Amino acid sequence: MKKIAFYGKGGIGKSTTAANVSVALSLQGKKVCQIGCDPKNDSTRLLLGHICRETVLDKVRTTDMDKIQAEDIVHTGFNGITCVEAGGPEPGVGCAGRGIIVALQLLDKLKAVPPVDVTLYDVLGDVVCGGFAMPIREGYAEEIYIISSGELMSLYAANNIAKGIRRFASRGSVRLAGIIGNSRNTPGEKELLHAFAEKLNTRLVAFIPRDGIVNLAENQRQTVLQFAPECEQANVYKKLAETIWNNTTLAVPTPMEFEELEELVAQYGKEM
Amino acid sequence: MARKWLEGAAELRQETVTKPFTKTPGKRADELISVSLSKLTKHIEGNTEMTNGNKAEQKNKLATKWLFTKNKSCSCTMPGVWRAVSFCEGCAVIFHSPLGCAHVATLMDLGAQYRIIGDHQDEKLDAVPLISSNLQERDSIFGGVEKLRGCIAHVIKTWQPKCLIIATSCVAGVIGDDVEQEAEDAESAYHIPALCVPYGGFLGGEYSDGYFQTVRLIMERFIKPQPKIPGRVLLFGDQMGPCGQYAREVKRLLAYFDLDVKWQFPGYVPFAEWGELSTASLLIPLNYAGQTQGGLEKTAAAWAERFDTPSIRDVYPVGWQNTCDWLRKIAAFVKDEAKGETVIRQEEKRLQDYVKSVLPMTQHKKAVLGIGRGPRWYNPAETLNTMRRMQMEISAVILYDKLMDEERDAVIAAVEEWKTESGLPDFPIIADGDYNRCLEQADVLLTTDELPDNPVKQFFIPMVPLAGTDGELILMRTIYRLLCRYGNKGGIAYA
Repeated sequence: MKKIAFYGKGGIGKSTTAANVSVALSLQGKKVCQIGCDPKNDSTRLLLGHICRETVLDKVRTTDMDKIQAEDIVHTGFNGITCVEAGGPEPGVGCAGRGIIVALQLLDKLKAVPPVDVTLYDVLGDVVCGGFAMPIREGYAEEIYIISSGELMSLYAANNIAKGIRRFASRGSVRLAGIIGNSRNTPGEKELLHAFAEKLNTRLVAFIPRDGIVNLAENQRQTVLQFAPECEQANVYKKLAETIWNNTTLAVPTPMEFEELEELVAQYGKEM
Repeated sequence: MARKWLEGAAELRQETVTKPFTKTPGKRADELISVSLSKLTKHIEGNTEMTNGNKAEQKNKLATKWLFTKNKSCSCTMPGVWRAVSFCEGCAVIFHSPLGCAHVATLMDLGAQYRIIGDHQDEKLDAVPLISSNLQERDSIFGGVEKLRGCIAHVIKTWQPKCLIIATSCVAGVIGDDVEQEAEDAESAYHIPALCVPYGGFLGGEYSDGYFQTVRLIMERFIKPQPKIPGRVLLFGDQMGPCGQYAREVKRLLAYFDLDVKWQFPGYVPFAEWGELSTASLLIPLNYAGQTQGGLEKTAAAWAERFDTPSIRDVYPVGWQNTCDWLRKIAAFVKDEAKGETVIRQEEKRLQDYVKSVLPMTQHKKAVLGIGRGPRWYNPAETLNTMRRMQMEISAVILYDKLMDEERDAVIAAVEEWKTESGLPDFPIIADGDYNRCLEQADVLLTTDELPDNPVKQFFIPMVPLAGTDGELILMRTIYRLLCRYGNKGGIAYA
C-alpha cells in the first residue's frame, strides 16, 4: 500500500490536487482513501459532493470515545473512494494539532480505514506543531509531496516542511517524494520550481497549469475529472496520479537557509 | 482536619520512576531536573580531591536517599496558588486543570498536616474547597472554557464562596483557554470577586510564583491603606502555618513585648477580614536568610511600602545569634531596648541551662556535618554554631555530590568564613573525597540528606527552619537524644 501525504502553504491547492489525484487513481482501478487533516474539514468536499458532515473529532466531541464506531467516521465518496475528515476545534479555541493526533490514533485503534492501495493524507498548511507532523512522524505517510507555486512565501513554507521531513527521516521511513508545482503564473515559475526541487534533493514531479476549469468544477462541488473528464487539466491530474503511483525516487531533503532561498527566487523571478 | 473536595471520581495512579543518575557532560545546572532516587549510588569519575589539598586515594561512592537539584523552575504554580488561600474561609479555589493537578496539591497538604501532627500540634483548620475543572482529552482539542464555566457554576451552587480563585494548568496554557475572560464573566454573573492566576501550571513559573502572585492580586484588589492599630501584628508567610514551630515561637517572643499576632497572611485569614489586614502596625515576615525566600522578602517589602507598615525584614529569628538580633529590632520598634536585653538574657539562660544538662553526653563527641543543599536552601553556619554550643568536636564537613559546582563553591566559602570567625581548630572540608573513613570515626552525622544503609547515627537537618530559642532547643534535644540511643551506630533522628 502506498501511504502518501500532501503538504504545502495554506491556500496553495492541496485539497483540490489531492481530490483530483484520488479520483484519477480510483479511475485507474486503485482503491483509494483520502484523509483530511485540517480543522476546516474541506479536503473531501469534492469527493463527497458536500462538506463532510461527521468528522472524527465531531464524534469525539459528542460521543464517548469507547462507543465510536468506524462507520460513524468513515464515508464513501465518488467512485468508492474512502473519505475521512479529522476535523477540529472552532477557530481560536483548543488545539487543532492535538486533534490530529487523537483523530489518527482513533482511526488506528478502530482499524477504521479498509484495505486500500493508496492512502492520501491532506495536511493543513505548514507543519506548525507536532500535531501536524503526526502523519510524517508516526509512519502514517511515507511519501511526502509538497505542493508549491513559484511565490516566495509558498517556497518558504515548502522549505520549512522539508526541514520537518528531514528531521523525521533520520528515524523513520518517511521521505520526500517530490514537489508538485501548482502554478500562480509567476515569472520563471516552472524553472524556479525545478531549481528549488533540485536544491531540496528531489524533483518537480508535475507542474499544474493555472486553469479556470478548476474553479468551475469546485463551484459544482466536483473534481475536474468528474466535471470535465476530457479536458487538458484533467489529463494533467491523471498524469500526476500515474507519476505518484510509479514514483520510487524518494529522498531525504536538504532544505535551504532563507537567504539562499531568497537568492534563488530573485535569480528566476525577474521578468514577466 | 483539613478536608479537600475533588471533582470527579477517577482513580488516580501515581507512578514512581527511578533511573540511575549520571552527570551529563556539558549539561547546564539549570537544565537539570529534580529526580527522586532510592538508594542512589553515584560514581565519581576521575580523581577526587579534598579541599585541604590532599588527593583522595580511591574513587569513592556515597549514597544519598534523595537527589534533588533545583536551580530553575521545576515545580508548578498551581499548588502555590492553592497554598496562598487554602485556609481562607469564604474562598474557593478552582484548578482549571486535569484532575491529577489537584491531587498534587492534596498530597502537599497531607504532608504538611503529618508534619504538624508529628509536632504534637492540634491543627483545627478547615481547608477551603479545591475543585478541578477536570480537563480531559477532548477538552485539550476543543478548548476547556465550557468545562471551566460549568465548574464555576457548580462551585457557586455547592459552596456559595465569597471569592473565587482560579489557577490555570499547563494544559489550559498550551491550548490557550481564555480563563481571564471566564473569571470576568463569573464576576458579572455571580457578583463575587474572581481572581485569575493564569500562569499555565509550570509554564509560567513555579510554586513560589503562584503563591506570591496570588498574594499580590489580593493586596491590589482587596487591601487599602488605613490607620494602624497599636500592638497588632501581621505574620507574613507560611512556614507550616499558625501551628508551625516558626509562627508559634514568634508569637511567644512577641508576647514579651505585648505585641499580639492577629493574623498570618496569606493562607490563614478569612476572606471577610482581608480588608482589615493593613491595620496591623507591624509586619513580621517568616523568612529565613540564606533560603530561597526572595519572593517573600520582595512581597513583604511591597506590603510595607504600599500600606506604610513597619516591618522587620533585615534579620530573622533563625539561629540563636539571629534571634538575638531580631529581638533587639523588636525592642527598638516598641522603644524599649532594655526590655529587649532582658528577654535575650532570659532566653539565653534557657539555652545555657539546657546545654549544661546535656554536655555530659555531647561534649567532645565527634560530629560530621554533611551538606547536600545549596546556599539558597541552607546556611551551614547555624548548624555549626549549634555543634559548637554543644561542645562537640567538628571532625569534618562533607559535601555531597548532588551539589552543583557553584553551590559547592558557595558552601565551602561559607564554612571557611565560619571557621575563621569561630577560631576553632581547623577541620577538613571534604568534597568528592574519602567520606567513609570520617563517617566510620564519627559519633554523629548532622546531614541535609539521609544516607541509606550507612551505619553512622544521623541527625536530619530540617528543611523548614526552626525558629528562636525553642527552635535551637529542639535541635539540641534531638541531637542529644540521638546520641543517647543504645549502641554507637545507626539510626536517624528528625527534629
